[in-house]
Amino acid sequence: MKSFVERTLRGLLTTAEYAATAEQMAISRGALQRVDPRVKVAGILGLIVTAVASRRLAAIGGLFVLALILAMVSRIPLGRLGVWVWTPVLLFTGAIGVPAIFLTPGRAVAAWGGIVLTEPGIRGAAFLISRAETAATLSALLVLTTPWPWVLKALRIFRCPLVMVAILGMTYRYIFVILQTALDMFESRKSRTVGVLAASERRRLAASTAGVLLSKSLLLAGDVHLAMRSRGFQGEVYLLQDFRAVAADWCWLAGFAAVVLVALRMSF
Amino acid sequence: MLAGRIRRRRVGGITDVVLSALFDCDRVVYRYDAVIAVNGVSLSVQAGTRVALLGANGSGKSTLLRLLDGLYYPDSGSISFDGNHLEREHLEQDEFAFAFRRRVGLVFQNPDVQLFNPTVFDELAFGPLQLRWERERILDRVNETLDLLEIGHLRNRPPHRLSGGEKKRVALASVLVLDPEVLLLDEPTAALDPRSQSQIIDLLIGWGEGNKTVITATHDLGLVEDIADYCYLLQNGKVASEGKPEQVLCDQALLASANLIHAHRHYHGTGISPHVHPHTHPHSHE
Repeated sequence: MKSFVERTLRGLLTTAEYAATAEQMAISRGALQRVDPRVKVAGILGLIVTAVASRRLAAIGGLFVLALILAMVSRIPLGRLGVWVWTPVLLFTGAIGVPAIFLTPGRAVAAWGGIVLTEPGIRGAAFLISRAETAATLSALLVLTTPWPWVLKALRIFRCPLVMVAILGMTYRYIFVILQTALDMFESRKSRTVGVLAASERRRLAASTAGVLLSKSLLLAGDVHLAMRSRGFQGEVYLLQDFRAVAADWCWLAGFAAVVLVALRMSF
Repeated sequence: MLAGRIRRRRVGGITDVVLSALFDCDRVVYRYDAVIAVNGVSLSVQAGTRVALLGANGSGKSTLLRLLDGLYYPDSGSISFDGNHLEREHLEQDEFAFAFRRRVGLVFQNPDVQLFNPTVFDELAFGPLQLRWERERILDRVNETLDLLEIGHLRNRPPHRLSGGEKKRVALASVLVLDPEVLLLDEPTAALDPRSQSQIIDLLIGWGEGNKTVITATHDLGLVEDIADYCYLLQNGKVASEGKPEQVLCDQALLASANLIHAHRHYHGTGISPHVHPHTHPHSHE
């Protein structure tokens, strides 16, 4: 059995690898990667809202199939989506939806002993899981085909509050600094550790690491604020917007709009 | 607005125009809670000069730079820039703050605190955007600076994915893009490989054709003669000595007491021989 320190190190490295892979996909030459980020944010947001609002499973299924096709033409491996998106979403929504199959009152579809599967229960679970999977897949498509800074810029163009965009951007950036610090701390600990730590020692190590990281991140936050002030920051953030939509982007926007209209027509 | 003070003095019937010091520190004290970081420092820096703040770790160099950049305010004493006191109420006024930030830039020791934008391009554009430059001017200036620092190939990279040397160059570029009159540098070559060190030093020597004011905090004595015309040696938050680099660097006893050089031993042939010198540049022992 691997030690606590080694498992933590592996977790930190996996997170860093995940981020590196996602960034690599975002700059690869797939179909969605070429689309203007503003069009992508507007179009995918429209598809997500439609999937969540739709009252027909066929419409939601159609949007999910569309998301799969977009993933394939954007060179996003479906296996990765399975591991990163579908499995966690299925586990999470399944934990909520599966009990509803048995607990929701309505016409019984099947019964084993005292356990009854009801039609409204199955429909409710199917809606919950399909909506969540479709919305999560579409969101993943947006962030896996668009560098994160561009997503933030596009959000700002759509009048997303500046403070929120600035916090999102800096959080993403400093997660890696803190991650590297944590990795260094655990590597240093590993180099001085022999054998497997006792449970109490593992708890002590986790608590002390969390404390030191918190202290370092507070210090870092203070210094970052000073560095921002030093370059003229007075509380308001200004961004340079340099996106340029071409004819193909307008075609994509029209395509997204058409899909949304068709899906909504099917639903209502 | 910031305006230079001009004094006139009459000597032997001839009137000279004498510019006052750009930075003037008068008995500045700054504390971190109970710890006194800067303890009664008085110094002045003339426009166009290159000054080194020398001192070991914890001697107060970085704090002094932050005071000079108007990021901290003295607990007692005063700091003036171009005849204007650097006080909280002044730096909270947009007009004064813009004028000061346009003229003075600080490069932090740890580039990670300075690189908070999503891409290198955005990092360089951050300062000009805060100072409300026009879009075309920002684009031109950012591109020029990327070329100057030879980091054009990094423009769309996120700063957290860069190497230590690249981060340092981007941090420097993010300040040089504003073309400040005064550059404050905190350990500009710390933790860099020799080639990156040399590139940064060459850049600083050539920057602004030598007409800019550069104040560098460092404990790297090997750099001093290249980057400074005048030095202040800080020890325990006080100025222990000042003068031209060749004068300050000759005082071995003072440098040893300030922990900037130390005695150590090497094998020489068959025996061990004691030496005293700073460990800041490549050297060899026979």
